[in-house]
Amino acid sequence: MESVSVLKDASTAAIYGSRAANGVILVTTKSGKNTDNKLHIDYNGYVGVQKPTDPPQFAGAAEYATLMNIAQPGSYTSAQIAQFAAGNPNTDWIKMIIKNSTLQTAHNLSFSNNTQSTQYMLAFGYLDQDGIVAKNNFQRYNVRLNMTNHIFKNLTLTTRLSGAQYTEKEPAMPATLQSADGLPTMISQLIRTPTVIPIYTSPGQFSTGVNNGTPYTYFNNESFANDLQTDLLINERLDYKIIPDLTVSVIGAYTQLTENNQRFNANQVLTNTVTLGPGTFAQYNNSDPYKTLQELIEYKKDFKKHHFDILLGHTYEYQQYNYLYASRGNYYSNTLTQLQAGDPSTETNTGYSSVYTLDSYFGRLGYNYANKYLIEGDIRDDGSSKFPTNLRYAVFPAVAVGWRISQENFLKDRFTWLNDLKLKASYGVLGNQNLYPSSSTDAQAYPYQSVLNTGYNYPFGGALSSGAQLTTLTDPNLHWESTRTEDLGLETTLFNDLTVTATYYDRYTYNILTAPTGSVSTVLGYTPGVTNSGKLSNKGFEFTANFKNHFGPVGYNITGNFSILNEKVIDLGVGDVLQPSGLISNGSQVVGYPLNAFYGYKTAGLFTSTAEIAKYPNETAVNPSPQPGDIRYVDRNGDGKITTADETYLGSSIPKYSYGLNLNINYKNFDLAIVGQGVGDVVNQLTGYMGWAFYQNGNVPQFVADNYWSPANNNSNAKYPRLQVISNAGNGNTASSNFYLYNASYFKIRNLQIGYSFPSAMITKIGVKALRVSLGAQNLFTFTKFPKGNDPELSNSGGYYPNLSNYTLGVNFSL
Amino acid sequence: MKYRYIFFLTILMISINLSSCRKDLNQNPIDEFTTQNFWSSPQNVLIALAGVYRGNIQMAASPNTGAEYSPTDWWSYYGLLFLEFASDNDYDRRGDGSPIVSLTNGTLTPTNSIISAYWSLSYARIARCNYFLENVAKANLSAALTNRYIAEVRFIRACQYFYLSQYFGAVPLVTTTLTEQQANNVTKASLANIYTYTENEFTAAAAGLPRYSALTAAEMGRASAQVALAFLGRVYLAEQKWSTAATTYNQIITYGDNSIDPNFTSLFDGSNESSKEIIFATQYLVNTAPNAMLQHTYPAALGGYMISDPLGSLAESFEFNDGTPFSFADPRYNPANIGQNRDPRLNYTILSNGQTFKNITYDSNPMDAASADQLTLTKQATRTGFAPMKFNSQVFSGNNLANSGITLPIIRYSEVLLSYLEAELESGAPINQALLDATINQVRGRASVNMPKITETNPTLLRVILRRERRNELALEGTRLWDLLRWGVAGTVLQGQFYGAPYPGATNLRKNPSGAVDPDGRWYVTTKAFRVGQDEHWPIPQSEQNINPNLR
Repeated sequence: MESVSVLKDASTAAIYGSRAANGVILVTTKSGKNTDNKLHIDYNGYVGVQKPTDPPQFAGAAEYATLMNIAQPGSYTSAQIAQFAAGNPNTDWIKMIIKNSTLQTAHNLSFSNNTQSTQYMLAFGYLDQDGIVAKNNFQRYNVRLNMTNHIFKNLTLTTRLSGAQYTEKEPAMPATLQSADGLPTMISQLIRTPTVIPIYTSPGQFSTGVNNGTPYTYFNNESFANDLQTDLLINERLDYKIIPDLTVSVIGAYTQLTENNQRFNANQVLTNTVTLGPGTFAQYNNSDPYKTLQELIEYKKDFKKHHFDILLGHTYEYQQYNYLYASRGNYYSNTLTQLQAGDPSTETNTGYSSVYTLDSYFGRLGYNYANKYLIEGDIRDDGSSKFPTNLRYAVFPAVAVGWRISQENFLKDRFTWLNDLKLKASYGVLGNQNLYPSSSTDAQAYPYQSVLNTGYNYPFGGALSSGAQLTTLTDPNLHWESTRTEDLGLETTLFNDLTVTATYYDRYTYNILTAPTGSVSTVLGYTPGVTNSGKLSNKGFEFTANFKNHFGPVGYNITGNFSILNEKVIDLGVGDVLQPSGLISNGSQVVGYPLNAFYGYKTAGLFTSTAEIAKYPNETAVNPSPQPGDIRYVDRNGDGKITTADETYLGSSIPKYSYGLNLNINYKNFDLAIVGQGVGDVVNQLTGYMGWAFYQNGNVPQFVADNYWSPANNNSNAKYPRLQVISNAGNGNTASSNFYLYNASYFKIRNLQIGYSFPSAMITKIGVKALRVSLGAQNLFTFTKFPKGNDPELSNSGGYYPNLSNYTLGVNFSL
Repeated sequence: MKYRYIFFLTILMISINLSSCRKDLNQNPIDEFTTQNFWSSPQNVLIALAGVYRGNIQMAASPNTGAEYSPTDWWSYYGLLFLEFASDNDYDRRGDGSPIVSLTNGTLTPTNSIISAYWSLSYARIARCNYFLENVAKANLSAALTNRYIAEVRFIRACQYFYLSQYFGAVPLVTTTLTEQQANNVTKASLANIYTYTENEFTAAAAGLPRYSALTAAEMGRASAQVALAFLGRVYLAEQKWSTAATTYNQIITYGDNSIDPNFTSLFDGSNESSKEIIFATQYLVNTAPNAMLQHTYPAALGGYMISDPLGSLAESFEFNDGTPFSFADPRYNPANIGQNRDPRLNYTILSNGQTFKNITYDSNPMDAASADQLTLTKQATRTGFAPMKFNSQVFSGNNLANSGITLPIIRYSEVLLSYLEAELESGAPINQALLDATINQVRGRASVNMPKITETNPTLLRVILRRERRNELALEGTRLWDLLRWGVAGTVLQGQFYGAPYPGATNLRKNPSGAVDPDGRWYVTTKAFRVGQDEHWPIPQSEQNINPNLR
């Protein structure tokens, strides 16, 4: 990678089109640009270990059983609890399944050269990463060739070719338990299983746990889920300078993504009477070609201090998805694990294909005077096949102005400490045609077209009849979503060493492409399709400051950034339902508040006596029989009873404040880099297996076991209500409330790296131009008040991939 | 040389025909039917009809089989059978917090997940039906065929309103495709209006449907005139229009297409799905359209989840084999083998401790810690000491319990006969032996049951016998809660403490909340507190009330 830049203002993004409405991250890969006519060889690589940062923690068996007896008296005898205390059993499933540390290795080798007519860089990469559970591994091989041929002085051909192969191996559930497949779901089953369950109930007889097995049998069997992806990219660019100021460019690119995913769910003998099986095998193949064509004409002209820049262009994109799926069952052994080894009478197959295309015309006119006054205007005409013929194209304008005040005579040379001062402002509108939530590819590609979905088959007379249903009501007048961005910024450099930027932005998104599922009555009988529904406002400030200097031989560079985000849902469109609470909400998003809202009851601790319950507003609409230890919901409207009218906005998982601090220090041949990042004013939720006790025969999280309400701990402020066995339907204490929301502010040391570069005098003798070794750590520390065993960045109910920290030893050298 | 490149470049630029891109923005689905051209083909009408029959019934094809975790339809195994957990017949292993148990134990709230599932799935099916009825004429089929299809779909739609009216009471009556705005502003139709509507719809459907005997083997699973009449009869029973109910049921009997099957067990284990006793059933097929019922109901020792745990109350409802009611004091009662000397349907319906099931002996003894099926509060096994036997097919031969093709009877002829007798009885018509022999004694007299004839003609005494017979015959098939509600007895029956199986001599029996051990040695299970005047109808789901104030 050569550079990464984030383009956020309205006009810069305009040229990147309809996918850029929320800004662009531009990644430029290196092409050979050394000018010394010599072959350069660069290598960098590392070995490292990964460790889970904060593995989840649950009550041990004796504690679990004691707590269960509080929730449900008589569940365990004291003799049983004594056995648990002695470890018969006390199974630490997390420790058994989640590895303490895993290895990873990466190598990158590149060759580059520059001759007068040709520059190239050829790079090879390899990555091998073990997962934190058994049978979990990721490997990547990639090769890239970037080459520029100067065919003539005025004709340049740029070629970027790359190929990559990704192999991902994951464990899979034994046969018949496919519905819990997928690593996050398997981890949720791991988290669910209580410590009182043994691996074996008697010699050779596995415990059937809570769901036909235990984490041991889920992770130790002959099942597998392997995924092989191949990614090929060809990008050709021809630049022809017709006259020195006029360049015509044609860019064609083709990307081919192919995926082969195989899953075998193996036979497994659990006990003398329970065998999971027969095995099944399923395979799917994706083949997704993506083609683009771009034509550009750029004209640049300088007239004394006037500088003009005109760009005209056209792009065309074509994205196709092809999917083929097949499966067979009745694999009675685990030795043959491919499709044709299965029973043909059980075979199933399906497949689909869909296409969407984009067609855009755009122009840009830039002008600046003496690099002092800058103005730029852009206009785009974007078309997408996702919209009906008459609404397919839409025009999106943008304009940006800049004023380099420091170039003005009244400032120039007047203040020596002021090196640069620039004011800038922009305004623009961009379109978006991506839909969320992303559903089936057909619904993605043809969202305005009404279709009957196949697969609703039904047996008549013992044979399957094909069936189809209209399940979604589509909007025949679907059109572009738009984002209007206004920003105002200041960039300045002071005392040569201090750079400060400040930006205010106001981004307003309207005609949002979304399906208003939560706000349409199910009396409709259909799933509401994607429609232009809703308006969202994002306003905020972003500040960065960079200071570099040295302190004797110690050089340092400090960058700080801070941003404030005020996000507000302005309108939910079809979803503007006036809730009994008086708020306009679709049950999850709330008008006037940020996205990712939590909506429900405010709480005020726990009941401590029946007398108190009698005096308290009537909770029976939420909790039919409140008892001491139950949650006191707040009667916001003061009508003497807790009803849905008392629900309100409780917080959002989108942080209001984000900040970062980067520090780079070098001393002689040593360098040190620290990257810290944090957020504030944010909440996340812990529910299900991760936040509740005894949920669906599940575990007790340690932070619950540490401070729960009980007659013996009759504390209104206990962290967890009265212990109860909770079914998948929840209970009176699991209504959506702020009781399970936790302050998710954090500060993380994301990266820490110490490097040593060998002095060139020492290494040139052995033919090495540069040599650096480094020690690095990612996700080293997290400072947070979030409950232990959890990552504050995640609302968690049990299905997730634990966060990892990473320690590496790296080497870079150049020949 | 230079000019050659310029020429090449010019050609390249020209070849990029910009207008062709505009055409390329016309992309249409090639793997789904667009609604514009779907209805032109007669084959497609059958495809849409199959879609209407399917509704949202979960039929997770192999290899992605899996259990239902909430009802996917009134007629899915979960939706049809597990409603018994809310009655005095059956209990949910998940305990008192189960959303189904909550329906009738005094803790029902409008946020209950079961009621919102039934609600939304009913209206989804209704929408499929309305869409079908609005479009079928476009296909230019023969009038006869069109009329039959219309009758089938009207039957299915009316069934949704039957269930909605029985459990929710007054609900919106939607008979056309709505817009989102309309859906958010519907109003409730009165219960009387829904009754009139369902009466008319079932009557019209019955007139347009072929008779049961006219269905070909390939049409098994399609609706017949008899099933429409059977549901019409249910509507009249609910309305207590006894004599019209009797006439309706009598029509089915007069047709003579259906009969009582000598083999009781075979009706529920997948071995006799074309039996003339099964008037209508949810059809399942192994591999391609299976259900996961056995995964939920099989004993734990065989890998089942044992979610359905029959209550002692049901076991005690079965008579001794001479037709006298059960009593713990009777010397014929054998706690070690409770099926001994009893109505054989007890053992056909309930699997009790010590009985053989397939290759195991079912061991639910609370003292036997080594048994996977030990009665505890913590194992994934029975909470009552009983397991279901009805529907728990012993002839099922697959290993994957989530992949069974056993069809589920929705209307059996025995229900028709018992309902007919009930209608006659309640209408005040005189009861004679001929009527008893044509109805209840047919049901009791099937070869595999062979219970003594009923000879009681006193209406008050017969009512007790008939209701017990109905309970025992149809146990665990999903009608018990409805019967209790329409008889107006839910408030007394679903009240107080419920027990499981007896284990005399066991020292770790669960005590009831007052701390006492049951004198008959039964395990205490639960306490119900049906709220009279409130729980007869379920509240409209909270999320629906929030969206539409007309539903509050």
